[in-house]
Amino acid sequence: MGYTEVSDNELITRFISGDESGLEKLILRHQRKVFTSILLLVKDKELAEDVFQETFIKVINTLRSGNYHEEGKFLPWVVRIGHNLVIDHFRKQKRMPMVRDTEDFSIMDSLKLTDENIEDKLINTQIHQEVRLLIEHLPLDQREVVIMRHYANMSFKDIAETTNVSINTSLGRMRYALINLRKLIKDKQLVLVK
Amino acid sequence: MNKTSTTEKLILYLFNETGMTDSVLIQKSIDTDLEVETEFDTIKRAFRYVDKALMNPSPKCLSNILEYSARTAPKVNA
Repeated sequence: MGYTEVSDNELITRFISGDESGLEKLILRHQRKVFTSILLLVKDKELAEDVFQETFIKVINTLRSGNYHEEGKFLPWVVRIGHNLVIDHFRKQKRMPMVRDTEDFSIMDSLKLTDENIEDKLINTQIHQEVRLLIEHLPLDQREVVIMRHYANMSFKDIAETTNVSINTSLGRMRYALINLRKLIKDKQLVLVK
Repeated sequence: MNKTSTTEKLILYLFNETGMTDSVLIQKSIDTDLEVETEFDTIKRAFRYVDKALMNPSPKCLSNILEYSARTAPKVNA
């Protein structure tokens, strides 16, 4: 019999019933997409970790209170919580995120390194960092739509509702994001993924 | 189709947001029109690139969340 992955809903049910491992599995399953979604918006690892923790504290409290009604859409729901917390944060600060020096990023800790040799690891680390910087260079509205559609698997309709624009606008933003990404990739003479 | 609408339709197709009829038409267009095929390929590669930016939070960050959860878990009556 083949291995079947336990669904998000099943893990949620286990967690609500008191099985803490359900939460741990959910976090481990979605941490990369949720964390990167936040990081690309705030451009600061320490702040991203704070918002990530705050996001999951909200997730925990909502699940336990019985107010979770997003069956089958756990990841988009969590990314939306993170997105709203980022917006709240910058509203309180009354400023937009600034580009920070990125030397404090422990990229090596974050990469999924398997059997690659050192040279491959270094190349991958460089690509990883360059790609993140490319995305960070996109205007916020374009960055949001890339994050929500590609990482969070939100439909353009959901993105439009979350960002208070029309579906056509969010689709147009995605097209502009692609145009800008291609231009940046070309300018920086990066080789598209192997 | 103009270039803008082609790109937007291809984006929707890539993310499975087109209806059955449109999907068939778009796939046919990809199969028969080299320009559309190239555009679709470029879009797919750009998103594969975006995946390279994924990274994890620190282990400490995760343990903080799990500790919070354990600390605030409702008491189960024996």
